Amino acid sequence: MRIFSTIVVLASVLASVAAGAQEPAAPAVRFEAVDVYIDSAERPLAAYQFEFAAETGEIKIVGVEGGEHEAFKHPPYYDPAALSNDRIIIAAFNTGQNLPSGRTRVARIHLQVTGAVGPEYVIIVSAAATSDGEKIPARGTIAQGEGE
Amino acid sequence: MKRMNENENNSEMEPDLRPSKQFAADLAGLFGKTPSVPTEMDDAVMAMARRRLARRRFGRIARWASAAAAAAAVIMVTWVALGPSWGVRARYSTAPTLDTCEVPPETLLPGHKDIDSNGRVDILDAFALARTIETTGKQRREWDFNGDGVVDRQDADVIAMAAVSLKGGAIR
Repeated sequence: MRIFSTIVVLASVLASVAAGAQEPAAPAVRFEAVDVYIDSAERPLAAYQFEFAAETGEIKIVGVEGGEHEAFKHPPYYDPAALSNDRIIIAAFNTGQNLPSGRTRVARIHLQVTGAVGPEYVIIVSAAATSDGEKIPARGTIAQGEGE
Repeated sequence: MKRMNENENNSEMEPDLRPSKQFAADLAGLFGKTPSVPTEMDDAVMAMARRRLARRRFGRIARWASAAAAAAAVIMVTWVALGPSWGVRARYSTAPTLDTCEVPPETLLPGHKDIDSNGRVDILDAFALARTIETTGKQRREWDFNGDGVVDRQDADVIAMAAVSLKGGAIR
């Protein structure tokens, strides 16, 4: 009787292992952060707006936080519908006088990346202005940030 | 004989109520003269009458005042119930004119978020509104985008949220 029980248990364990081996491997999921910088040269940056998306790869935006300078430290404006999406429009402004100039990190975007293919991102700065409302040309760049 | 019987019948039905001469003389002795009323008593009676009249007049005024207060309460309730549009009119300054307006007049249409009139709503519209409110303190009913009766930073937030809506954008 004891031998029979042992055989049954071993058989069930082997069956479950075999079934697991037949299932396809789940795609690798990882989280990473992307820092977004805007360079306003020597002009003080009071307002900005940019659009961010992944051109290749499978991503989901899972969170947005503010930048490094005090003027843009708070989380910027974005559409909540962009979360769980692969595209987002981010903007912020500050009416104070303590403003950054040159290259400054304005936001950090947290992403969920699925699959082995590394995504390629694109950023378009659609608006930037100084404290008196004057529109200025500004360049946007991205860099790998600190992941979760 | 017959007439006599009728007289007797009448005297039986209506008794003679005339007072006797003695009783009439006694009554005349008692009440024949008009009693004199002292002036103080007269004044006191008049004062009491005036007080009562005044009290009645006050009661009438109080009733009218109560009715007026009730009518005012009804008007107030109606005013509040008719919604924010009445309140907005009361809180804002006069309608904007071309010479007092810092932003293009076409942007003063209700719900028009393109403050700088460049054909699109972006963060610079929100920034322009926030700057105008903070630097000049101007209030325009048309800028009350969230409809709370006050033009403040929250109305600039409404424009900013419209600017970042996924319905817009250049990618895709």
